[in-house]
Amino acid sequence: MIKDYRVMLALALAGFVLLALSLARQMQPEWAKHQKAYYKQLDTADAVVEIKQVNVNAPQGGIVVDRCQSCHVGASNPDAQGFGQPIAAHPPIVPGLEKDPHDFGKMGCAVCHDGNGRALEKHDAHGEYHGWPHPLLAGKTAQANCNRCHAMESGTLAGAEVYEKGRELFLEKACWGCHTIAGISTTSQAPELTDAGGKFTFEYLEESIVEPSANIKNSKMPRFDWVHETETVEALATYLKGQQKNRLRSADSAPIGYQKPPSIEQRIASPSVDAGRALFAGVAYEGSISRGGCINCHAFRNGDGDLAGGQIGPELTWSLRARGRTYIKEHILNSRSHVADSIMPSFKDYNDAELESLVAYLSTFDYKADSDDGAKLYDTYCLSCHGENLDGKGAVSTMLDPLPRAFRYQFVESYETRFKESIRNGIKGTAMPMWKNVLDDKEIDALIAYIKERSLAGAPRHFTRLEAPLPRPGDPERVDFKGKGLELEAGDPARGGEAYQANCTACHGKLGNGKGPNAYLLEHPLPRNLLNKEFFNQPAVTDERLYQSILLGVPGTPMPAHDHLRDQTILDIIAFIRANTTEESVQ
Amino acid sequence: MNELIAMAREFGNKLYYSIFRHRFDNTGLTKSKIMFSNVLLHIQPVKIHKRSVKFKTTMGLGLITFYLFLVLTLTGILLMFHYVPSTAIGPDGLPDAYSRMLNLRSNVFWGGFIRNMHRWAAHGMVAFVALHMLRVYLSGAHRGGREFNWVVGCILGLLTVFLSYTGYLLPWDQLAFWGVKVGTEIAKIAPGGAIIRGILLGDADVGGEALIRFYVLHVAVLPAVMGFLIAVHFFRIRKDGGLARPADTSKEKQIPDEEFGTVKNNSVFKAARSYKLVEIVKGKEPKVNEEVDQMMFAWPKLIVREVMVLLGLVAFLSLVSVFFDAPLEGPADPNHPTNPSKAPWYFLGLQELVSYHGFIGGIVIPGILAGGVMVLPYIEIFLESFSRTYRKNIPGVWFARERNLENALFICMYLFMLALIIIGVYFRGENWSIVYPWEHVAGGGH
Repeated sequence: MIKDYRVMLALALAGFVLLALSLARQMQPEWAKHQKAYYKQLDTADAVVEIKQVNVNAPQGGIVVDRCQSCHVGASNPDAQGFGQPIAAHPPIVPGLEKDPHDFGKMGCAVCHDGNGRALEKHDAHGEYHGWPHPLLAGKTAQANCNRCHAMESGTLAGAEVYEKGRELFLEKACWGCHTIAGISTTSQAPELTDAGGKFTFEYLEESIVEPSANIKNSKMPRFDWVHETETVEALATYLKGQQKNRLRSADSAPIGYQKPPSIEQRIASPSVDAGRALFAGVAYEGSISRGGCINCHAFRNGDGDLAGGQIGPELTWSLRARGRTYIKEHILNSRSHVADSIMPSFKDYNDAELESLVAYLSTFDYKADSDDGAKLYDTYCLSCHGENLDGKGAVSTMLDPLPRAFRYQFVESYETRFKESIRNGIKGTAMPMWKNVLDDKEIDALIAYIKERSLAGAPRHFTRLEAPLPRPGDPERVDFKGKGLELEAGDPARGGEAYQANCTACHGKLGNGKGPNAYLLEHPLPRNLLNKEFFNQPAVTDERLYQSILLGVPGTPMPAHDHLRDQTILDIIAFIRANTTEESVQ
Repeated sequence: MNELIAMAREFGNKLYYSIFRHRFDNTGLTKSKIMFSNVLLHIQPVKIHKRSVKFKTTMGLGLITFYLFLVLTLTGILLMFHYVPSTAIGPDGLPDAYSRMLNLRSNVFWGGFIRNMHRWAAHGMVAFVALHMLRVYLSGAHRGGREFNWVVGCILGLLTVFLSYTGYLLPWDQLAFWGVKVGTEIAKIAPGGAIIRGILLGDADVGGEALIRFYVLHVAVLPAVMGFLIAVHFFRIRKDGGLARPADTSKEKQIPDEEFGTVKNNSVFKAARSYKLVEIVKGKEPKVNEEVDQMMFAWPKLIVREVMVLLGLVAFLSLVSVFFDAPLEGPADPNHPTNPSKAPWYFLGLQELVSYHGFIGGIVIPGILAGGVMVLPYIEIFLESFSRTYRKNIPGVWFARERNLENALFICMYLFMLALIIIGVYFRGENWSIVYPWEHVAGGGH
């Protein structure tokens, strides 16, 4: 029994000690320790240790509770200059002023630095726990929140240099081409960023800039090669974090630093090559803000053949020569007017002078590979899309839709007769331009010879494609033998639609846009978008070609033979595809 | 002077006896009086079987569960002084309920500790209910006239889970919102579940109405029902003759009699032990067999051991609460689901099953398990009656050989649920895909 009493006593003691411990922790909070250290360093004897709370009024009637200065007690005291964190004085915000206009006693800390202003324990207060929407913005990244009180849409704010750098980058790097920020751009290519700062944390933004698929697995955003510099990423993320709908000050009540934006944005009025160059490079031209930045995605060659620019879209050295002015202008205004699946943003607010300037600048590209050597020609003109191994995986291929042709030996042996025509006239509805304006027949022949030689060099065996002429409806010689000798009739789009849903959707998709569930697992090239009007309405794409492609498959691609289908069914499917891609039909 | 002392003593005696009515000597009468003249102690019998205080008999599991209920009531009442069940957006843009949580963590004196205590005790209670149930079954204590008390216990277990679940929503953070959301979505699958869900939530979705309903259920309705059923549960244990024990305990190793304290016999009839004859509470004949010798005074041994368990529990809970903060995430945001969204851990087995098949995993299997377990003693009786296998059930004996099959099945069921819960808690990541625990992303399941 005495043992029981001892155990009881020990447990009572343990319980008491632990409860006392929990109370002791409450009596000795973190902030009180910091305040005591602060007053000791200041040699203030009779200072009151207390929670220091600032309530910042918001225009919507709310307040921001801010208890940060319970720990950061020396923030606004210049005498605390050399003190360690967290009791040190805040460094000056606006450079060159004798007295900083920001009064922390009135505005607190969380207004600029985010975090959880209510909390009194470091981990909580800095918002470093899972799910807190606004974790601490330390150091200069706090410039993202200048926006909350100062209107910064135009004009620069002293002390917000990181934010300003981010804004320049956003314009210069043509982020605005795809992303809308109200007041800057209006596009629908990519998620709107007008409230990016309200929706995303700083880390999320940084991560998404560097590695677009980090947070959204199927992101289409290209990986830019200029983002690896920490400073750049930080500046851009700071700018984006600053895009917030929820502001603490309206335009009328904003403190100093606010300027009304200039009445109207300066635009280019008369076309010139210089203006075109500025647009192309994404830099300001004669007072206009940047409205271009082609170079971030497109590369070009100077007179010596040196390549410069981004590897996201096709190289532009030949584009104007190959495509002509009208096409280029239409393409800039609406890229999908010619290439159904182009991811290029639409620069639809360009005025005529700006378009003209760009075209004028593009027409200054005059590099030409002066050679008859197939290899040299291929490396110059074809490599960036079709790749050095002729596998269609060139540097810019990933963002092209449809993907560039992979020259597998089966494909080359089957279709080599088509090559000359394809190179000369291009393939409509795709990124393949008309080379006849750039290359002469001799050069084209040299290219074809080179492609054949390289592609067939490693071929394990010879490939022969069967002949399968298109059956004519009503032809008594060519009855549909699988249909028990029935005579063929003209294809019916309605029946074709049913056959399509039964046989084709797994790869080509229910809508026919080439994005069926299996498409993602297929090898390069991916299923054709069967709604691509430009492609299906060019002379080279005949009914016979479609018939053969369906019946025999397309060699060197994942498209298999469908010789189990009746001729009549294939004709119906062709009619269905044609009905979807007539000029009048809605894409 | 002496007279004054005598008067003071008289007053003191009167005062003392008006409160306690007994002395603290070693006589059997006093030991009996201590027990039955105290409202808190009289729930227990004056005399108990020696094996009742052995650790092996109960492992204190039921008692710990009851103490956790007391701790939860106490800390819960303290929290009620501060909490507001409102989703109204406060001046600093946070829902009221959530900003109260932030206050508890930052500037309410002892608030964080009390909340931690409440949270960890709540999780502990669910776990200890399950362990208590396992103990009862494996030691056959649900049989021998105690069958209905098992049913009451099962209802108490379900109430515990429901109490914990209703409390889970109250912090109104992401964890709470999505945890409860997942749970109520599972309820939809059941036939009629949508109506029950609608009554519970008071809305088409988890929102302000759900918060107030969960709050009232959590602080008033469920604790009241629970308190009543706990009383029934305890009362029936007394009426069924105390803890379940086999008919013959003479072969068992017991705590020696001296350990229960000396009993001074100041009766006129020195040889008589009359108090033993008033022990007849149950049974067809007076207890005149060896059983009587096994019965010992509850005071002080039983009470000391019970206090020991309470103190140990409070010490352990304090330790956990001092060093581990109850989770709190960002404020509830119906537009941004956490990924993965996990129900509280005791529902994660269910969620894991639902991820395979909504109806079978969410309704059929758990329905069979919960319903089957509740009527388990009656299933046993039914099978025994209709197959005329009159086994010698041994209540109070761990892993009785006659019950090997039942015990094995019951343990399998526990392991099955435990495995599912472990998979759900540690091996499920984004989009409910299988991940290793060390790649686990924080969020959900606490």
